[in-house]
Amino acid sequence: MNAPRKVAIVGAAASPVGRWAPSDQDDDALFELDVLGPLVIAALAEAGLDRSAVDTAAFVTPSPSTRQLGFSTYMAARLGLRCNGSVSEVSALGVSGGLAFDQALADVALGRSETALALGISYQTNAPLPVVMEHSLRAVGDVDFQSPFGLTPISWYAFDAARYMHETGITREQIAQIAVKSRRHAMANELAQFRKELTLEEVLAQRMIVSPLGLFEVPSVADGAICLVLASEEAARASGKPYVTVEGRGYHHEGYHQIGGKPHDMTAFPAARQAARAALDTAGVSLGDIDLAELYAPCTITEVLVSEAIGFCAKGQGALDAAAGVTSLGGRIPINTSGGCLSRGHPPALTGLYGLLELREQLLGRCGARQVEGARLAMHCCESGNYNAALIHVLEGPK
Amino acid sequence: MTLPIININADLPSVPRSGHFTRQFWQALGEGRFLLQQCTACTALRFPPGSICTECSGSETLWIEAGGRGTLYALTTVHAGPPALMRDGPYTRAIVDLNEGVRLIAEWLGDPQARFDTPVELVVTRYANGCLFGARSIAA
Ligand SMILES: [Zn+2]
Repeated sequence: MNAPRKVAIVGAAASPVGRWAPSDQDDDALFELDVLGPLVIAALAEAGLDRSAVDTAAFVTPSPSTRQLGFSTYMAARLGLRCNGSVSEVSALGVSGGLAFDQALADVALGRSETALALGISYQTNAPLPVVMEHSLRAVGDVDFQSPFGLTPISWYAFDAARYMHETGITREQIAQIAVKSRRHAMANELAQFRKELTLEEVLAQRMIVSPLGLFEVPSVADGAICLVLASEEAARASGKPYVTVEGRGYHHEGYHQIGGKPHDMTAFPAARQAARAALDTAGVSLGDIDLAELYAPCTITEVLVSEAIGFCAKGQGALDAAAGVTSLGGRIPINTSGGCLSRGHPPALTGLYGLLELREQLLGRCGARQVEGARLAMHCCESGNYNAALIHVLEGPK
Repeated sequence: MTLPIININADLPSVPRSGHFTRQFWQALGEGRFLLQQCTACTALRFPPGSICTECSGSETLWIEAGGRGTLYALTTVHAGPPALMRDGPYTRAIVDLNEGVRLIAEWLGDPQARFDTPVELVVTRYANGCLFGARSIAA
């Protein structure tokens, strides 16, 4: 086997995040293939490639309401792919998008694949709410000892928020600044689901969803579709087109599913801390070298806690830093310039891929009004459960 | 120590399964006793019950009865839950740390604004079609 090669992101295409899944009654519906297929062709075209170059297609497992099963092999066939690397579906709750990227990355790095796709489509908004609810309860809890209690995915983050407020004295109002900041970022992102300006007063005036979090402090339901194209850095350089490279990677699963069986600090997110350290080590850089970050954060509190766990903000400072602009565009470490889960939008299994796309566009200097000046090194983090697992990549822009 | 049993005139939308390694737990719960497994190899307590010790991979266990007292770690009230659980409006759930050193989820019976790190007791919530467990504040 060859030594691992450095890998580049050479192309990408994505649909705006939003509510656009077709209903079952729509006889003019675009099925999954019809939305994702053109994105694959567009992403390859941006890289100057066609489908004959593709050796790997790492799909995020589509949402449970997807009628077509055997999704990856079906899609490979309909896209006309002939692959020597791998064709797969990847799934592990919120970390799925990052894992699909990881699979594509590994195939290229190990020489199994010259061109690899990390891609997926998620129709969330056309499924009946009770069905979505029932499925998500079974996904984020022990089906016998937790799910019967009715803990929705975001209710675990609500526990975090309540506990964090108890321990630090930080208020809901202070944590809610994350929602305002996310919206300000999303206003300049044409892929974002919500782009109308939002005030703190409006955030706080919404009805409760999972106390202490209201409607605008938790994510909305959303559809998404996205394709990233990866190739060796050597091939990327030879193409003459702009590219970003993957410099570091870290992963950690803490060994809990939502909460542990014995007392522990549930707001510490040690998986994020450890994955970040590993990713920075493999990249040979330090945290202070990172110019911006996309951090998987479905709720306001989640961004606060992961910012603190990784070390972008001191313990107890995450919300205060957001309010002070430290984590906004123009601040010391801009976080979630895409608008994040709250405003860019959150098709959960694809959120990792959308975050990676944002960093790629930033590092290529294409982000217009939300561009981070001089962005060169970026960190991406996605997670599953209550940050029980975290997967982190460090990307670098053109040299 | 027998736990208080609260009768609730409704069905659980999702009834926990009872299996080879869990039926003793659910049987005892119905009688007001909260059982924990203890690993005979490393003495670690295990909850939820199951076939393997998370600490040492041991498979031999004893059942011990929990005292039913603990500490409130966190609360949340769910205002947007599955319709079957929203029948009577929002519901509050707790993370409770038992005095034995076990963390679990419980229904919360009492003030949704209760202060964390205060003492609680476990109760059995007996529905028409099965039992769960809950917790409520007690005097320090
Ligand atoms: Zn053991």
